[in-house]
Amino acid sequence: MRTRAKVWSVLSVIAVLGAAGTAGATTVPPGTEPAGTEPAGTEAPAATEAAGTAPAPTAPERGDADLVIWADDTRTPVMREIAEPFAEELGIVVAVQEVPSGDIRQLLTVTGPQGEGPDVIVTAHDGIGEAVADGVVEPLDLSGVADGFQDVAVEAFTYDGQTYGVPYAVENIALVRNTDLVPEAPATFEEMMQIAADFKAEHADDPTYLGLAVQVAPEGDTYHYHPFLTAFGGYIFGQNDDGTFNPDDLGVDSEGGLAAATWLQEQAAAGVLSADVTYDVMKEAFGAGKAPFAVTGPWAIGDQNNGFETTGVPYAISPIPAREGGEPPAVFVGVQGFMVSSFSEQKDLATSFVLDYLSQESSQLALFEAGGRPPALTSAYEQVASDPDIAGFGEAAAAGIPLPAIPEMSAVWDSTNLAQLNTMRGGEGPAEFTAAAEQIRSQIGG
Amino acid sequence: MTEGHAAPGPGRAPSLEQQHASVLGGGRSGTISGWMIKILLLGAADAVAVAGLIMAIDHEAWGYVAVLGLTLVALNVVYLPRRFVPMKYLLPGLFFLTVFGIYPVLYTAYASTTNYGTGHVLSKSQAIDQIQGQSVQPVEGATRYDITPMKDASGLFAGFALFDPEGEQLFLGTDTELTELDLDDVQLTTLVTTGRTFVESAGDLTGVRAGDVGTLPGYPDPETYQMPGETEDAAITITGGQAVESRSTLVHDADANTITDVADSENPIVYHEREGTFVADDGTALRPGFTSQVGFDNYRTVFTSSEFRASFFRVLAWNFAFAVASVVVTFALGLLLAVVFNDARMRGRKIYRSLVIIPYALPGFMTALVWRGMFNETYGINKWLPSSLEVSWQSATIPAMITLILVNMWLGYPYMFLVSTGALQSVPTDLKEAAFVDGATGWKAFRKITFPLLLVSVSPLLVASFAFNFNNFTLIWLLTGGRPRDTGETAGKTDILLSWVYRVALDASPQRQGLAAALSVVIFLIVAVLSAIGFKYTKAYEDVK
Repeated sequence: MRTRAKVWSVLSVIAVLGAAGTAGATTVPPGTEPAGTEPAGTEAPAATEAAGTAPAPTAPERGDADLVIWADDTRTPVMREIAEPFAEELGIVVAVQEVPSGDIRQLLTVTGPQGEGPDVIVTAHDGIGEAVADGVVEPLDLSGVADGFQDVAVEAFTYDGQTYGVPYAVENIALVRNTDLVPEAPATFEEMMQIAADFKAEHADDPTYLGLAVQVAPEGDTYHYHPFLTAFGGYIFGQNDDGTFNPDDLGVDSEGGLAAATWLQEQAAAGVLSADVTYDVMKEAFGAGKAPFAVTGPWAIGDQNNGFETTGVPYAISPIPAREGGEPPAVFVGVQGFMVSSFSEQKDLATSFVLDYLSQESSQLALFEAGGRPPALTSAYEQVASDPDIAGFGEAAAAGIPLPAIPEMSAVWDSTNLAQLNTMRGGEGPAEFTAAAEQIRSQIGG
Repeated sequence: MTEGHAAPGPGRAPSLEQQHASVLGGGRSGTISGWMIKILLLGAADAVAVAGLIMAIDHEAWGYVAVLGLTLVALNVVYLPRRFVPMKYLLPGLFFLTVFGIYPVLYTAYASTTNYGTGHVLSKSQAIDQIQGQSVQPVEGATRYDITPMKDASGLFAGFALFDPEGEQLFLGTDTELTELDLDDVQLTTLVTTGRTFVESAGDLTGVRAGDVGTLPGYPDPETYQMPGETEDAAITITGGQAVESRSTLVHDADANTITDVADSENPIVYHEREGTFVADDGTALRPGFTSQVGFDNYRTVFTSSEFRASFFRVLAWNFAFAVASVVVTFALGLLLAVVFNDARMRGRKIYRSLVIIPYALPGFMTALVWRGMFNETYGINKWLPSSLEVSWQSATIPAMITLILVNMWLGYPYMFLVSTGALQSVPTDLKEAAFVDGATGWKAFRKITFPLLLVSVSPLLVASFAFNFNNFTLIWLLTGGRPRDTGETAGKTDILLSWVYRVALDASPQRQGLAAALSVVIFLIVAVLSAIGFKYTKAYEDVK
């Protein structure tokens, strides 16, 4: 009684505030949940659009299950399958409940403290900073299994020196090229941009032709801008020696960051990049052969709704090349994994399920087959890396960094998205990014 | 026998009031079935309330006990006796007004005095449990045992079997002692799914599967179960599906309201409670924090922080303009169409009327997104315009504002059309005929007769529409997201108060629900005052009658 009512009343606050349920309980600013961390395929674009629109989510009832797992629609069926032998062997009842991916962590935060939430959640790693600050996820000792996983995956689920989740998939963007237009992967960043500029110049009158198809609209997209920022030596947060991010070292307005801003301004003015390109525009342009390059993730390839595979455009995947004499551009790597709720009354079962069972090769391969996301377990990854798409994205990930999960990152998205948008809409790149950096510093400091 | 079939003659038909009274509590002997229905319904409602009351008492949720108790008493007092007839009609409405209207407002007001938000979502005791739980660390080099709950021959919980997979040793751990078991007399299984060792039996003890511990008498809460270890002040505890010797370094002192870190026994660090967090003298804070009362701090932030002060009046002005303009344009267009389609000379009125309400029938979530695509500066309607006429729908302030009002007009006019049509048909035609006889033109008759009469019935709806549009978060958020916005600003050029608040307090990190609640209360007061003035003003129209 009390618990449900409290959940209801917390939601009602949100609802009252957010125009009767329209605001939803989405924590993550629309731009910050990169499409990459969303379920593959059609949901990728919807994720950004629906972030503010989902009706106030409601949590499913626990029922009489011993172990409750929350997964999104794409992972619920496979989780049911995977959980079955585990449930059978231990003689327990496991319930896999479907919760929209964007709501999982928020609902855990609301329902967990009331004793109503799940035992295990499937989620992207980038919310762990807040989840840990809220005290809703349980530390997991990965020491026994960490060696088997890709470093970036374990790093992603590490916060303040402590691990909180078992990773299962690694996802990132890369350079996708039309092999009819560009048979060989460009060797340098300059070469890539030259091809893009030439192609755009040939079709200067038609806005549906793009030089470099990168999504920006409607509000700027730092996730997709990050490799370009780093190509010029810019960065968001500096990394300590152990790979953790240092919030005091903000590189948005560093020399390289400002150089990237100037470049962005030039490219937008020349029409090679456009602030009006949405995920759909990007997908359609590349899919119709109207762009030599796209910078996007596996979700655009497998998208049921006019993905590259569906349209039959010939494509190949490679890392975004480095500038001459520069460092390879770093894409953000998003890691999917399993976390255990701090409020689970079955922490033993939950931990054993996640740590002992889901970290096994067979589980990781089953998850791969259902979702197509490259496995985080090295041995599982190697088995599927013969697929050129997976190898291409994997190669790009090697130069990537985990999407920062520190809470300070939340102060970044809104400001840098806006700086990117305003720069591409005719603003002065360096001035915009300097203003963004100042705002971020004042938010982090205050 | 025949009496039962006798139809009541006209003279014996109960009056309307009597009929109502019989259904709602009059309980005349002549309408025994009505009385039965009443008893059944009331009984069902009472049963639900009593069941809820028992659950609430069980959970010690005294607020709900009070509410349910009052409801129960009110139900029976009002519906059982024949008196209180008006109240019989009012009570359901009052109940829902309280639950869905007053309670959320009060709860929001309450939440605005807390620091609920990221890092402060737990209760204090939950936070202390978490802090202490996370300070439990394995003793260096400690063995990790696979665990199996065991039951003795009489079926009682006998302790946990601890199997050391490396040393091939087996122990039985209880809360008092740790005894080594002889491996000769033991049956072990390796679980296929997890790879852990399960002890089927050891001597006269039997292993209990995870699914059966719920019914095992004497089974303790494994999270707090401690078995004696080898090291001083450490214990074997169960964590992560295994048992390991570990110790906690944080001690909570409830009386002093402090948490002390005793890891370095000579220099213990004391953490004191400060604004929902335990903080040491050097500023180190323990995670997680908890929800605590902060009084009027959130309101102080609203009214004094530069973050809000700088843009508040600009946003309020646009918010007001947007709401007024939305009401004016939707009403103007809706009324115009209503008048046109109300003219008997118009052919195919029914078809037009059906078509006109289409925007009303489509979900606004979808259409707003479609409109956003239409106003995309490259791929939207600009594509079909000559380049000299292209408009920066999204990057310039005035066009973005016009976009919003245009789309809101499209979304809102069918509603105004519907209410105006209804109201027009209720305007007596003889009044208009009289006006024409007196020599009035069509326009003059409309302006002097029809329109004022129309306003009598629709003006409350206009006030309501104003209040709705004042908080039309959905449209703003989906169509422009408050943009255009200068880099470094939190308030965009087309943000209304609600979308601005949402961005600053909820769509950000840390989330500040407490602050958001305080801002909601402020917005609520603004809308309430404006609506009250509006309703008062509309009373003037009633004098027309």
